[in-house]
Amino acid sequence: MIATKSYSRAPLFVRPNLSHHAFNVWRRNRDVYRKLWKTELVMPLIEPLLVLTAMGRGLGRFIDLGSKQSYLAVLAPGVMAQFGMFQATFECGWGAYFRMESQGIYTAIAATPATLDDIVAGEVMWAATRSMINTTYIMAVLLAFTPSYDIIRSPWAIFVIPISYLLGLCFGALTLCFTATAPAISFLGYYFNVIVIPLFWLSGTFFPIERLPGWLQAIAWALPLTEITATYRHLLNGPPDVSDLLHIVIVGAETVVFGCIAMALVRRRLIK
Amino acid sequence: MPQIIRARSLTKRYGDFVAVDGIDFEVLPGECFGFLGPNGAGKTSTIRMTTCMSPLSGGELLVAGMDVRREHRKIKAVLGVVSQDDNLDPDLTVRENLLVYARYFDVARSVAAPRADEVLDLFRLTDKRDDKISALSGGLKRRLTIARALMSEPVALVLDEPTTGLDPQARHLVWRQLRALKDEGMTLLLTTHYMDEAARLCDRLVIMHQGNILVQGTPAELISAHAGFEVIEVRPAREAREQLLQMLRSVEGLEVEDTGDTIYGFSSGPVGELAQSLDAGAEDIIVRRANLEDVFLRLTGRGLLE
Repeated sequence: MIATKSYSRAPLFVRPNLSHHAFNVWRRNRDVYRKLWKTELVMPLIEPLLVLTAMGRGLGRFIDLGSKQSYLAVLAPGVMAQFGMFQATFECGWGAYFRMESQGIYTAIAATPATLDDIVAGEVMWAATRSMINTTYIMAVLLAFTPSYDIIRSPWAIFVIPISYLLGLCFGALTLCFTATAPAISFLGYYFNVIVIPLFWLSGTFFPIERLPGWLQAIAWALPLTEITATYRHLLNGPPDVSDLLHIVIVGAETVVFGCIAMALVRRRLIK
Repeated sequence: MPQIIRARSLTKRYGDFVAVDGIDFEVLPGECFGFLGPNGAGKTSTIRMTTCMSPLSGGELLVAGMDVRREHRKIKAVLGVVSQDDNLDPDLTVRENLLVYARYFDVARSVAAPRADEVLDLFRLTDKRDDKISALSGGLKRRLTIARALMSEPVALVLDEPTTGLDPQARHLVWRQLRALKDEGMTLLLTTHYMDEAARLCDRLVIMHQGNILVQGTPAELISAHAGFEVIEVRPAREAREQLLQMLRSVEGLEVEDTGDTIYGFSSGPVGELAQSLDAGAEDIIVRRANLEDVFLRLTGRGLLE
């Protein structure tokens, strides 16, 4: 018997096999979004407004920052980052789970020249696109509030939009790691409540994270939302500094790591 | 002409379980080649390896001259795959499914649009073109899945149980359309556990059982070699059983198989006269042509397979 390489499961550690076909997967999601965007409009439109209104205008009335800055203006960068994160999370969490598990779309596409790695990349790029669309919308709302609340104080703020794409890539990839290992869709609830929601509160949106105990600060900085919120804050108020460049590099590196893990896990789940 | 698909010692293991146990087969251009066998015989594993969806555990597999271990993108580009479960895109309409699928193969929109209308027409789906997938019946979904696989103009269609779960009308329509494709020169590779489907569609077939190929040949060859020409089925009255069995066994050229319930007699010639002579003592006598089911059951045994 000639010895041949034998394995029953897909190997975890192989170089991702990516091509332009990832873009075709992205286009599939875009086409569906163009058809269905009206049905998905409520969350992205209403929720950021709720947070801005409740926290900024409601709670903000009782907060004296000791400066001229409104609390709404303090919240603004974090809200843009959070809702970018949420959108990418939903897209690569529940959305991807349905496409992969219930609708068989991953296996259908994997029978074409696209690889599973292309599919993961396409999904993550789409999550990033949704993050960017969402952030752009919130930015428009903030621009409307700016005359009364002095929120967007610098033209550098325009760079928030491309960075929201990076944020979406990072959270899309991170979420897909959990989706690819989810035994059932309810598993995503754990991910959302254990990782995403704590980030929402602890990433420096509502209060400076220096107020947190040291270990919690360390965790907050380890996940991308805190970095991006800090950078958005700089961009709304003026030019970025070296720390922002560092943030971008860190989040970019995390994206690559999460992306490679997500590809490996999706391969492991679907290749038998 | 070179083979479209060539497998040598093709093996698939899942842990200790051997799903495909070193099989050899070849699919020639323009033919319909079938894998016939019960559930768990290794048909789907073979198909999944052929369509680059499952890594080989051993052996060699070439599709259109390319090695599935190395050139999976190119191989997937030339195959049309119809999987067992309809994995149409439920967020898109019938026609959008075709267009979006063609795009995965980099077929330009200007080419894909007229082709979509063509295959919709071919599969009689034109009046459903703007319907949602959820509004389609099982038969329509299957036809659309086959139509979708044609969007990239593949060199071969690979179909995993193309009519499982369909009602008789839908099955016959799918058969008709697959035959029409074959008449136009399309190479077909299909799996089925329906003997009549294999007999109707396949030019050549293999019978698989527990990961092995038991026999291969044309349906007619297999039937005449393993089941003969005609079959007599006798369901004897209890008290006459032994006597009938003895009598049948004494008939020259008749291979008798007693299942404990029905007695089968396989003959290389007609058995009509024999049936006339048996009338007493039998509750029921059927004379019929031998078919693939006979071949299959004689080769794999009538006991429980699972």
